[in-house]
Amino acid sequence: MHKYILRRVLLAIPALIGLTIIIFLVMRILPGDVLTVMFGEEGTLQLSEEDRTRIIASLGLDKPIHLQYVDWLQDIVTLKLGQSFWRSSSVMDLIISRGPITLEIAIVSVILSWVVGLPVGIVAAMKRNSALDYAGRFFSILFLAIPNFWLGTLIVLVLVLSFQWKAPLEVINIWENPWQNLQIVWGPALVLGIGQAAYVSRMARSALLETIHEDYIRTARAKGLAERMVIARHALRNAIMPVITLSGVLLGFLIGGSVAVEQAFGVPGLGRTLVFAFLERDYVVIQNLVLLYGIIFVVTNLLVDISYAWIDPRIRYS
Amino acid sequence: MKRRFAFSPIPVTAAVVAITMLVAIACGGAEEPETTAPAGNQTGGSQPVQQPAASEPEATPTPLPASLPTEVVENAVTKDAYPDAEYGGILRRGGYGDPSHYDLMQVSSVSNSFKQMMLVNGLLRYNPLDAGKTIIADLATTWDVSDDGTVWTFPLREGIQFHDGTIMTADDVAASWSRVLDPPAGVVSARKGLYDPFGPTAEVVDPQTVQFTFTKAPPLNYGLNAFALEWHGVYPKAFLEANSYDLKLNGQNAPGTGAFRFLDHQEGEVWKNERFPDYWNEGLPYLDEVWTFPLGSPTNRSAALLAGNVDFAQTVDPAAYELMQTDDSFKDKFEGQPFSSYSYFAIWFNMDREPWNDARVRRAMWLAIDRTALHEIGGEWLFGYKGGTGWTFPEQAFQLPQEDVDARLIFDRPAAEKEAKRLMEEAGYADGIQNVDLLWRAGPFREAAAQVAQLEFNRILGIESELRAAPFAVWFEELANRNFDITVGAIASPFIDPSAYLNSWYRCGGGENHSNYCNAEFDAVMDQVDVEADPEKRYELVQQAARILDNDPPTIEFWYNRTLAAWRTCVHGIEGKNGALVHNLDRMDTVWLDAECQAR
Repeated sequence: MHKYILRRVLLAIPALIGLTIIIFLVMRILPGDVLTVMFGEEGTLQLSEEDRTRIIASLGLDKPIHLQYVDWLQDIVTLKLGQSFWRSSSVMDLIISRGPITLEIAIVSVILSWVVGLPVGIVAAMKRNSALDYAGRFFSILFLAIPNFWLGTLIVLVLVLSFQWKAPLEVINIWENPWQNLQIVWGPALVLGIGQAAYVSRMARSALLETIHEDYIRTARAKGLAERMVIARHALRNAIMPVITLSGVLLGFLIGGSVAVEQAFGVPGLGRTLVFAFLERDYVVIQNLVLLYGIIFVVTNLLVDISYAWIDPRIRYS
Repeated sequence: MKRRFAFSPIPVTAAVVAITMLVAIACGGAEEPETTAPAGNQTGGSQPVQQPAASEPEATPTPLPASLPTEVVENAVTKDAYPDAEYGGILRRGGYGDPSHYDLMQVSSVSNSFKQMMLVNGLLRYNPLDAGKTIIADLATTWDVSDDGTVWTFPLREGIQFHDGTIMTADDVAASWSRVLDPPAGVVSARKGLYDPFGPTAEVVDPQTVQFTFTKAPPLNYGLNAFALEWHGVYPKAFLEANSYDLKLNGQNAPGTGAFRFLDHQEGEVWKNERFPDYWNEGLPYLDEVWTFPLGSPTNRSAALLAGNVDFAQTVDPAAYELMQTDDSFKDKFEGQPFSSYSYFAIWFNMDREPWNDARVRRAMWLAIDRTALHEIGGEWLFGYKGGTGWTFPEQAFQLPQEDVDARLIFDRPAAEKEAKRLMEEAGYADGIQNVDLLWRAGPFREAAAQVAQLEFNRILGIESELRAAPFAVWFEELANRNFDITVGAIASPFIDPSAYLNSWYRCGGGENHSNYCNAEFDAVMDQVDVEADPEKRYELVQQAARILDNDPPTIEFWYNRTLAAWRTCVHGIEGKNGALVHNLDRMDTVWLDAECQAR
């Protein structure tokens, strides 16, 4: 097992290096004048060529591209991660201040997706082609189709217009005030969780439908086991593998990809930070956040793979 | 059973997908950084003559420079301005995103002005009590202009304290203004171009007097506006020197003289300013603290206001604004006003290329655009003045006579289209123009406007164009590289005087003359506008300049923008009527909360 983990970690390194090269080059190819963002339209018009050269140099953008890349790699290795172009905060500061709320939303939404999606998927599979199955499939397709930012905006509007209520604007961490923290987190987590639940229920349904026709399920039933035991102990345990894989990937997306929902609910998480960094052409922030997301994907997938061995004792890694 | 797991491509694939999505967001401009003042609403109709909507205040025509004082008002803004004002409380505001940096002078973004203008004072200021219609003394006690208009002298108030406790002197004022007029290398004075034509220098006469000498006298209205600009606060000379006159990194901590001083900034969460107890204007401000939440979109700001999370929000959603004005659940709880936001939307031509350098083609396109329809469409997102195409700002000094504006806006469409076709034929383009690159600066209204322009130009004039979107940073780059045929965008003027914006936008070589328009006749009239001391004569000249632009249009402007601000009825001291300028909302020194707001 340890060797397997080590091998996976070593294999992730070239993948992440590839990622750094892609994002680094993409940022250099993207059109857009950094200085226009920095000084606005009037200010940019006042820039002399000398000013322009000096400011570009102060941002480190005058160096040859390969040297800029090497500088960045050095920042990564030393865990400095570099400094935002425009702000006094380092990228590490940004991650520390914005990361927890995004992570919390992602985790709560994944839990929610399981709490809602798994029972729906099980019932749909067990009552195949029944009204319950059709209802489950209808709602899962509906929530797959609805864009989460639209649903988020709708929830915000309904709460505001009907109840004059909106989550607190100040970010309060869970260890400071759990109740207020929950008020901030539940909205985005609900929207994201429902969307994920649709995936989970469909995956659980199809995986269960495959599993319940296996010989060992027939054997379990023949032994006289209660149907509930057959499903919980034998069918579900095997059917859950693809659901875990899916959730692992979705968790990675949620941590990096809740951009639109954070925007709809006005939550200052990492997703919103990344969007603003793109609009401001803040290369340092973008590069490091994308790398962070890459690492998150690698780690969550590794954890998912390791969890297989825990769920299914037949699986051994070498 | 053993299962061997090989390297999984999922992480890299997923990351590449994520990058692609984010790049798409960046290219598409999910939400552009706001420059100067964005957005409001427009209640246009499709009728030939539009009536003001019920919620709109009646415009008070101010054709002549209302800001010209007949006498110096020494200190109109005092604690007695609102005799019933209550002290205390925290004003929570829904504002724009975090600033890109912290130097007000080097930027023109509402992300800065909304939070930082209350930290500083200028020599003069717009009077918040009359919606900025007059200019009054601020750090100066008065102003004196020499007979030939080239020497402006400002005696300063005594004993003014900076937020660090040091006393302000003329040295500080001169140092602060020296970086505006002649910034050191690497520092960008965003509005320097407004002063350069007049060749000013700042010097210290004595510790309480500062003097500006111009090589060419600016018109009085222009000069007063230039010294009232809220972007140019005064800081201690020692602090400026310690920061090499560059406040991009430390500007939030720079000790100003404003009614509020900086308290705290949690990026992405909140910016807090607190009452400065030693503010020179005794008894002001009324508020204890002002908290600004960076709510990035009008929807978020509106929702936060309606839900009571904030007491005041700037640039709210037009639909929410309408709701606050009309809905029984809200109309007693909220007030609001549209504020002039200095910005306008237009279509620019690349006159470096044919046929856009042909006045007949531009005039034909100017006639072909249905501005009434554009106003109707724009009302989905913004709040504008119904009198677009007047060349001067509505409700401000030197606005053109309303009947002239109406004639430009509401003309006989069939006749206009016929004349447009005739002009195209005369110019040799009876069969239209093909392969036109129509660039538009990203933004929902601009996208719709670009689509309308594309359709109308094609339908009426046979101009076939391809639409091309560009986010904020890219649009200016494309303009600078002259990489477009025609383009839909928006720009802003730093202040409202014809010499400021007409020169910048339409004079040959003007800073924001994106069409690269050159008309010797127009420039000659503007030469006179720039020096004419008599307001009446100057107004005549401005109208003359506008008539030249009518016949040889440098742009097709179709929208003068307003910013919608709204607040709970327990917030007082905001005067927004009659074309008040949006930066009236930034100082906050006359704003107070009654018990209801204070009790939250």
